[in-house]
Amino acid sequence: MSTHDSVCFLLSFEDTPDVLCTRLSEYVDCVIEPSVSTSYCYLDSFDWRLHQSGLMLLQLDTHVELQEKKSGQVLHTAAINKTPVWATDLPAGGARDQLSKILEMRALMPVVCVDTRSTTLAIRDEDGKTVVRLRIDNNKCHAPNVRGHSILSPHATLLPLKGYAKEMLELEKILLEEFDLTKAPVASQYAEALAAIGRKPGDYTSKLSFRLKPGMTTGHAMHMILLHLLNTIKANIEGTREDIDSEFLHDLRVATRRTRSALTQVKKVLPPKVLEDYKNRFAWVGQITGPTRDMDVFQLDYDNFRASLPPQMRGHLEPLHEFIEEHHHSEQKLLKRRLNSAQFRKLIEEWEDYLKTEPETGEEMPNSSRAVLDVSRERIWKMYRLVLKEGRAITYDSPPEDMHELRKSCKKLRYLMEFFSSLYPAAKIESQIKVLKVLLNNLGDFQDYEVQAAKLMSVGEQMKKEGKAPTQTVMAMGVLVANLLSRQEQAHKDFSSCFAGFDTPQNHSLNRELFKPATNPEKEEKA
Amino acid sequence: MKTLGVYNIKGGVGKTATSVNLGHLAAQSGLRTLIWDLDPQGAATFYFRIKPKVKKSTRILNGKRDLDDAIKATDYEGLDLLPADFAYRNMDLLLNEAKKPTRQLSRLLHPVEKDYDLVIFDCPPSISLVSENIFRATDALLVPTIPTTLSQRTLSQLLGFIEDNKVSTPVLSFYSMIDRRKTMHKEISESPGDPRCTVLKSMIPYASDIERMGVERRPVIEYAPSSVAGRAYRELWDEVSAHLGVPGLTTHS
Repeated sequence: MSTHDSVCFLLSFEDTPDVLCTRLSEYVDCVIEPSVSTSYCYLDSFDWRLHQSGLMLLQLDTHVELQEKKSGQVLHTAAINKTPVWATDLPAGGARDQLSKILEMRALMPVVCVDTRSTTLAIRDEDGKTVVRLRIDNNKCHAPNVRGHSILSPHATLLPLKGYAKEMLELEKILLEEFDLTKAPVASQYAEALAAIGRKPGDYTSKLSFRLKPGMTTGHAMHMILLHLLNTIKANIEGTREDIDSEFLHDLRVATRRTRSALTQVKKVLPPKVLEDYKNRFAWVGQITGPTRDMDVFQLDYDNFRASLPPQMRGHLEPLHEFIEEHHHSEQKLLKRRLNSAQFRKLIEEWEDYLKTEPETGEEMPNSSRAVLDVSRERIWKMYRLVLKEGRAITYDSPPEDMHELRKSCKKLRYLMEFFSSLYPAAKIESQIKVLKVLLNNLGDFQDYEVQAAKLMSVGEQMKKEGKAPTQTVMAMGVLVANLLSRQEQAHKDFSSCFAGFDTPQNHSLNRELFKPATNPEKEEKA
Repeated sequence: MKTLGVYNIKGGVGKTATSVNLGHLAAQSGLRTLIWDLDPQGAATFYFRIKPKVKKSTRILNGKRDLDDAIKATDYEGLDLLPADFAYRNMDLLLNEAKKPTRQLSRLLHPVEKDYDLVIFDCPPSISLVSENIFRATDALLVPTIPTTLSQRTLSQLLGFIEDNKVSTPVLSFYSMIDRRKTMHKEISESPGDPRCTVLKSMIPYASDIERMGVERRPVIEYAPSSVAGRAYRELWDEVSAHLGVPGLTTHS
């Protein structure tokens, strides 16, 4: 209940509570309070959502504390009786509300655990009232579920007390000027603990965070891109296998899809044999992960499905819920077996070995030794023109396949822009990706609602076959299918305005400026 | 946020000791608690070793800043105090617009609403406009009563006043400073009590451990945790927290 921030100092191992209190007694009335041992773990999602939001979540014995990273201020506490995995495992309140918004479908995982021995020095006024506290922490840390620990440097934290800001400032001055202590960010203990176990905040992101250089060869650039994607796949295998949350599989599938797109879209860089081999093998990864993802999507959408029904029908959907849970379980088991298979393991190992060798060059792969900027321009410009051509040809009466084809082209274009974005001025390429995303969302809605309606119908069939579909459930599912198809129709109606937003003279001129290769006029005339 | 008024028309009934000890137990139960010392004698402020610094300004409270500046942390985690001088001086706001006490009190509390789960008003004795407003606007009124004829009479006066003025706040009374060696204390505390209020089962004994608060300047639980008085305050808090619908010590641990 303080409006002031804590102030943290770095101590040396010689600065024990006794030594500090004796020295402080020259200036103030100082009393050592009994030491307390605490063990806690920092929790975050695999993709560091709390860190990215400037927060820290500490799990102690009986409760969790949500703290602001910068000030160390406790924003919310919530009682627990087991390690929370989901925000919804916490009792209703501020912590749960704030975490739900940030974490969405992501699970909480222990990141690093700390054992602290804290001794507090109470600084008192002439009435014996404590006016400020200095807490001295001696920390040891370890990775979750790992034995052994690292000793961290001791810290002292000035803990403000409401109504005693002046006294705190006076003590801060003494510590800085007379004791010559160095200030440390409040979150430095967390950062130090992470470093001690070899982690870095934000060390995983599903984003394409590599930087290419315009002059590097396309062969080297592609190896870099593909290796980055492979690392994303590898980072998500364990979480997918253990089904920690649905995003592990999602990220693994996205990285697989991007890998396949990179293989096929950046042509004549890898030897045809290698290309063909890995294209097929990654297509297999797409296939074996599909059914579990379908069930994940149903699980994620279930609450919305239920809420979209009239209240009196909501209960009828329960057999669908049970079916999804059951099939998710069996698909997940199968997926785990496949991820443990020699086929999968070999794919990952061999691909990594290949990508770590020097890029191959030769007649069959003329683009490998060309500058990546040139090749990327050609590819993006070509794909952009294809998107324009396909999109302009679509009318309201065009067959749905045309929209699906356009979506594929748009996705290819988006992946290409993302792979090579570091070669272009950030603001410009990001704005182009943003414009493309609006169109892609519309095309995604058009296709996804249709696919989901079809999948729901086929689930209905399967439930019937298994004798698990009471009439009322089938009817409720029918309402869901109708809802999905009407939303698809809405996306269909919105297409022309979405495409018009993409196909503008300004957008075209920016794309031209960024991607149009310097070709000879004759060739361009033909194009 | 819940509010509790601790009140008795009569002084010297253990009212401030109740506010201080229950406030301390509430904070130990995990509730962010504020004790609002309305008694101009400032005993609660004294018990927490807080200096009742009277500022020169007499302007009334009109924002979070004023309130924030005035609130002091006690030595106990989760327990803050609004010292006597400040709290009382600002009660004129309540007095000026006594017609809508609930609104006035929530206006006063609004700036700190999100900072606290429980506010305990340590009220001055006697029936005044300040206390009348507290009667009306708090979630419950806690009345420590000594089991003597005279104290019973003041409780009855209070309940009569509450009835006459159509105050709907529930009144919880409990026996305070009880000396079981005294026949009158024993008889009154065993009688059913006034039906117009809820008589709590917990009783606070007349104990030297409680009197020592003035010397220790700490809540009883801090220096005599397993004493009879300490146990009695815990039991009282269990009952009061249940009536308020807030976590008690048992729920917290």
